[in-house]
Amino acid sequence: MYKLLSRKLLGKNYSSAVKGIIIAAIVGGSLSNVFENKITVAQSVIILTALVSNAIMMWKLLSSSDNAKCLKGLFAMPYDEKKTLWGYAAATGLYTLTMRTSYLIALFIALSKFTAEGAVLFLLSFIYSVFGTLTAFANRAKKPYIGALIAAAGVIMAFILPKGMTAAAVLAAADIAVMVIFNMQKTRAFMVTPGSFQKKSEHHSKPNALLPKYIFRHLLSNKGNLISIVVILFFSCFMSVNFEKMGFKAGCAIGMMIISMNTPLATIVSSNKDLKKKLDTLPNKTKRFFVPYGSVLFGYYIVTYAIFITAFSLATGDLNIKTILAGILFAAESAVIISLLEDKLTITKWNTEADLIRHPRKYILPLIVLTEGLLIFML
Amino acid sequence: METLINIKQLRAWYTKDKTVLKGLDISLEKNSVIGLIGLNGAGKTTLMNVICGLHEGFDIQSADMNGKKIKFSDDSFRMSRYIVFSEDDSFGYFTFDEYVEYVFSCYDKKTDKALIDDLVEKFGFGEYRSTFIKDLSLGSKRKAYLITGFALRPELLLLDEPVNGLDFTSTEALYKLISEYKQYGTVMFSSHILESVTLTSDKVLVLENGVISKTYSGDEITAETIRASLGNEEEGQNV
Repeated sequence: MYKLLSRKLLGKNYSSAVKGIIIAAIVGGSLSNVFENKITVAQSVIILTALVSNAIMMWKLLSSSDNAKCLKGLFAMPYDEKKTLWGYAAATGLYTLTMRTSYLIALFIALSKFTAEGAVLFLLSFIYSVFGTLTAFANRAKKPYIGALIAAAGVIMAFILPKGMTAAAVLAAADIAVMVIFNMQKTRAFMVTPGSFQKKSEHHSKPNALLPKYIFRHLLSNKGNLISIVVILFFSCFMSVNFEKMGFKAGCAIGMMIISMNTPLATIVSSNKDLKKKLDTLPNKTKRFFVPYGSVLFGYYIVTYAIFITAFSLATGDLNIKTILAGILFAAESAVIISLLEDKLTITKWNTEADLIRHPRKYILPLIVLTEGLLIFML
Repeated sequence: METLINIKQLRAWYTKDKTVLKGLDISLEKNSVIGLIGLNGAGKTTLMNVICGLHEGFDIQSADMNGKKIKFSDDSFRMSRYIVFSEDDSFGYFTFDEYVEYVFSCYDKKTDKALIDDLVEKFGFGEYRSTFIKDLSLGSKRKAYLITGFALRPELLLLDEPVNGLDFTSTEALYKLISEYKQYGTVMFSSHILESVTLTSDKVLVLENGVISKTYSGDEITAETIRASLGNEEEGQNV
């Protein structure tokens, strides 16, 4: 199981994993040179970042349709229950570590005073996140409260643990506890059956309304997409408020950058190779697809930024016209840039849907938003 | 017969050392049915993809439609043709009716409800009209895309292995629709099923070693001649 999965997720001879680590090192090294004044990151930020970021990545990976197909094939063969369970955890965990967490570690090292103690806490939180997410996923249908309890315990630990080795000891104990619970899960619980639902009415939409409808259905088809949006929104608020409290003037820009970094709407064409093929054969694709697509993206970002700005203002007590204008500007830019990227720079070379999330293309928009945000909020 | 499309010296490749089409000349007549056959890997799908503007690795001496130069990726050419792929998982969150509506809007056309209803009936597709395309079986998906193509009535209708996955009744309906399409335009379709070619085509092109090695028309189009041309003498075997 591990060999088969790791080959698919991490490439032949771990080639994709090595590539992921090298890119992370390059990104970290480059940023390290740019940001000379390292900031101090609170322990709660380190723990919460490791927990939330890995949980999103893991959940997306576990619920992706290509993973479902892969598991369906694997379960058709005879397998050892425990070996398969732990093999699955090792392959998915290693994938998350090399393809996603490596970037986070690189960012922490580049931007902050990341100590050995911080690294230990980060690693322990990562382990908790991996096994916690796997356990939550296995119980998503029958016992969803288990996932909620694991998540709640993680968040509580992030906020109440005292600094230093005590936190590490408690996290290590939590890791062991979550691993014991994970060991009780059945491998078959990770099987994903793509949901199917039919449109009951025969109501005909106007052509211009068809594509927005299509995009919303695509978005709502996977609960993970909605969870991801909510978590990112929460995370962006948390990070921006904390940066502001640490005296960083452009905390708002950090939050807006996080929002622009990851949305399931940004890869709607890339995630479906046949859709890309079909669009390339249809006439008027700009008018009939990419313009309505951009409009939906604009609407999405306007709503998301509005929620973010409201939450940020409530937390910091600061609201000015500059922030609102920046939100509108970034929403418009995001819509245009993502539409252009999906049309002209479609990601077609991917093995798993999760590869889309870590593709370097995703950093283009956040980089633009961050640069502009820093200029707007710091000058 | 008047020529609809004339392509000269088409070469297509995936990598520089893997040329699939090697200086192919092809001429498609107006209002005709052209069957394209060849063994697996002969380049049938590649040829279709080039014509649809999907395949980037190609060069060409000339390509014209109705006597005018064309580029396969131009919108003006796109407006005059539609392709049904052998495998297609696009627009899965549309129902059939929405998909048809959407495709017609791309072609700036209004849907003909009576025609679509008639095609739906011929393919026995009625009960699936309100189902999301992603939830349809392979055969039903194929029917959805075929109905769209026949309802759209483009000047050039391209069908890549259209028979695959269809049930017996729908296959018969498809043969009839292909044969009758001549009154609206030209159909070029690839197939591994001998019967589909012999029952419908005005012209059969045999794709071999990257070129059109043989062309059959009229009375020459028989199972025997085509089988012999592909060196397959086993009765009833797919080409």
